[in-house]
Amino acid sequence: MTGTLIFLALGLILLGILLATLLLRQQPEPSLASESKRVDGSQAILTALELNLPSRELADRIFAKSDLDFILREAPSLKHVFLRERTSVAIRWLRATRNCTGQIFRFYRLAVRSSPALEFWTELRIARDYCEFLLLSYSLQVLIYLLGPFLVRGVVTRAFAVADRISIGVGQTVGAMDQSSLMRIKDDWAKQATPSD
Amino acid sequence: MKQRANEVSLVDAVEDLKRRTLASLSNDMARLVYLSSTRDYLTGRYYHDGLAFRFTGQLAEVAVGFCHHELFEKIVSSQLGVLVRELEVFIRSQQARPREVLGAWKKLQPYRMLVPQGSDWVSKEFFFSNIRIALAILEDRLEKTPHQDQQSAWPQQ
Repeated sequence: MTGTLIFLALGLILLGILLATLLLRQQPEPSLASESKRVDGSQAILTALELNLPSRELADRIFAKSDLDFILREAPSLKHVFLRERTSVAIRWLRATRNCTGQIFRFYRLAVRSSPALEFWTELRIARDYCEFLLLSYSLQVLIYLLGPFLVRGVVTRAFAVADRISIGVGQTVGAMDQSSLMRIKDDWAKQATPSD
Repeated sequence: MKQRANEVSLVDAVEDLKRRTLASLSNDMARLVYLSSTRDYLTGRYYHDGLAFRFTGQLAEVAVGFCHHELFEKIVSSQLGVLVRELEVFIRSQQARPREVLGAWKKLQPYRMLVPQGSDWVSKEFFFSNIRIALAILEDRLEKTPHQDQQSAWPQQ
């Protein structure tokens, strides 16, 4: 019992530190869309495979505090309804982003499984990024439930940056493969995506 | 060469649709309602006789679909305040009383038909959520000034 409580307390402290760090680092309404501009080149291969992350422009709107300000100004009695609606959308968006990043990572594992040009440090970096993304996205989910979607913009920005890194890493690695390998991987991926009965 | 010609025709068709048809509508919400109403609900295909007459049926369908997507993206990415204003102007431009329209939109949710095919589901959910909030705001405004529930007499903010 005491051990459980200690672990719980440690977990809460770590979550608090993470939250404080990320919230203190948050800039005034940074554009989440600008984060995605850097990944356009390496994203092409993932786009061809229909492995696009959800739009950052949409996230920009979902997490925009200006909408909350509008509600507080125009219809303060609807604040709770608005927060409930926006929290629900934010959570859906987060889940969609997590699902897509998971798919990109699974595709990457499939792609490098048969690749002769395996680079240890690249593998390690992408695996580390994916773990970091999962940690951030699950923390973000808890934070959205606890604080609402408008105080967590710093964490959202951070999670995007990591998802971008994963996209870039996977895009570059897969893009460097020869055409025949890529075609074979695409076929394998398509078979995995639509398993036979 | 043929592909280039098709691209030019598509640009022309889109421009034609915007200039001749969409420009005459009161605002973006009215345009969105109009564009989605040109879609056959059984097949999801767009039909626009005027555009098909000037260009081809296939080109008209692509042009209407393109404009529908473009407009939906614009509305989804607009601020909540802008959406509320769009909806307010749209409802005010209808023949029915605002309260009646609000009630029907809340109950029947016709706004679900305004989404173009192929939109991602998070965008759809975000759009539906914003429309629900906008309807609640407009209803709230109407309740504060019930005597103004007349056509073309929406309380001005």
